[in-house]
Amino acid sequence: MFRNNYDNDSVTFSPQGRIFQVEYAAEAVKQGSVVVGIASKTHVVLVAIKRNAEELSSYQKKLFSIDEHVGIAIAGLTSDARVLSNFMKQQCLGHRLTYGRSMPVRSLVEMIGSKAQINTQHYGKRPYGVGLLIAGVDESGPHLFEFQPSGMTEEMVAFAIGARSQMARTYLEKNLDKFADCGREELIAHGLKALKESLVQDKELTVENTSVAVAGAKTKDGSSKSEPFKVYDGQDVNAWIENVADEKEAAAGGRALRVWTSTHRGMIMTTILLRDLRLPSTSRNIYLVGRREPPAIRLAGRLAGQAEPRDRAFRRGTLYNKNQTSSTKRQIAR
Amino acid sequence: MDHRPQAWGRPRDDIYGAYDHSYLNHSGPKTATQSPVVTGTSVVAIKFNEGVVIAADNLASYGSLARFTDVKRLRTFLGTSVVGFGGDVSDMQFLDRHLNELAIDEAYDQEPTSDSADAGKEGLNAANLHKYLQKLMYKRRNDFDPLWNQILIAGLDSDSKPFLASVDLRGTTFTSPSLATGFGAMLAQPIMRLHAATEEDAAKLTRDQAVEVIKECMKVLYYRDARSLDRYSIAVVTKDGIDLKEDEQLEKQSWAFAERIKGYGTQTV
Repeated sequence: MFRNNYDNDSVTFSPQGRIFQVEYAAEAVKQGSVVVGIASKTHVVLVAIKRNAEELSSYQKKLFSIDEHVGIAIAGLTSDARVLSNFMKQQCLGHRLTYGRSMPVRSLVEMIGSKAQINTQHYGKRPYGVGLLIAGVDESGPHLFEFQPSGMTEEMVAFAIGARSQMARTYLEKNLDKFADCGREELIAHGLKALKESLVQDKELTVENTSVAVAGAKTKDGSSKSEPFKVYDGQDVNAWIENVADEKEAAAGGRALRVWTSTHRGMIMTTILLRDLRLPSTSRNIYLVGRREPPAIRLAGRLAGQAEPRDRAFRRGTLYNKNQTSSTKRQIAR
Repeated sequence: MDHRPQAWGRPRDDIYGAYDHSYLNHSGPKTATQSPVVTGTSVVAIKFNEGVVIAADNLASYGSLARFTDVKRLRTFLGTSVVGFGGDVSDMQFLDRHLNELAIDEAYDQEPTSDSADAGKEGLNAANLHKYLQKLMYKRRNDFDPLWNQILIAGLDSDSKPFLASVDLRGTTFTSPSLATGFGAMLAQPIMRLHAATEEDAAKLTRDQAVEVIKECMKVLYYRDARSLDRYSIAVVTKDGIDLKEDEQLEKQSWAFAERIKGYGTQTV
């Protein structure tokens, strides 16, 4: 029976010149859910798909902030990432204390690179089973780095690690030239689109499973202020998800995006989120609220099929839109 | 013949008498520097509208003896900051070596792609350096082995505004539009405050005015400070870099007043 004699520890080479323990660690990174990072001249973003172990559990965090100016995205063993994250937090804090400035991202990444490499050369140790994308801004601008359990670190324009990340990388390679001049929102959109490429067939980006993080650099001409690293989850990422969800349907005209029900003063209400592409972009999202009764549900279906929003049931309900001017409101009510 | 290290380089006992071995005490508790030995005197500095002028004379005294007359007490850091040292010269040399190491490490951390126009601007600036030196001095004080210096750090901060601050052997820091260490704190500081009492006043000073004020201070210090010298170093730090001159001579001295001083020398009254 075949047995690999060269994978017992990370200090032994195989006759082919491989170190199996390190390769297994890299395999652990591929088991983790996908994370994507992109850097432009002014911003750097991380986006990630969160997984829940079971239906009843919460989603495992994927993006962590390290210091005011740096954060990481993890793929692989979360507990190993915790150790690296704590180390990075300490280093950043120490640097801030002794020099009164934020730590250069490159030196931070090199420190964890050296730390991880030691584990691949000592008997009785094992490599970290986690890959990282490190995003941050320092005096020289925004940076994105990749970190692998082997101790390899490299600065990237855009990158993805984790399960099925090859699909995301293909998207990133295809759009590589656009990233440098992207603004904050464009960069996030590109990140989420890359993320979608890696999703399995019947999975979608939702507010539950999507995380976004951004950091921005101060530009020399003062056109852009520095923006500390911040992670966005839940409802905060809704607009971004819808933004990339819609573009596919842009050609199809207006349609209902989501229908959900809620109770208000003992009455069950149906809310329909409609995107009408005939309206100016600032007021495309329309929320229709009505009683939960067959006409309202039917309306939802009809709107999905591009019906004119002039249904009787529709008029009976209340119509409003968060960011719409009163003139467009009237226009639609008519 | 005694070949032990303790006897190396010593005058021979049979000729000069027994050596006092308390000078090289191998037993008993470790003792760190209790007082400075070879010392530098004042460092003076003043901010102006687009930078900082800093100066110190080139003398290292051994007690009251003017022992070394070519000691450069202004050191540059990364081509963007100037550090002026007063106090113990050997501790200054230690700090200088240490700062050189720091500068080399910092240079390796620079972005390999950064263009030459921005070179150095992304490294540690004067404010960062001051914070670092403060931590270093305070650490040594807590070890009861202080670095016996008063230090002025001149340069620009992260907003490219003039930066001037001091740190002493206890890790105490101070910042002001004008600063002076040692005797200069008594003799030069009042003169500098005439010209730049506040940050607003300093922001109105031109480079030439600031240099004049500093030269005036160096002259007064040479007149009144018995541990000073008429050869000095002066540096101007701006965003364009450092203009350091290390062998300046005090000009337009007038010792006419000296005739009227009584109570010293061979005078009879």
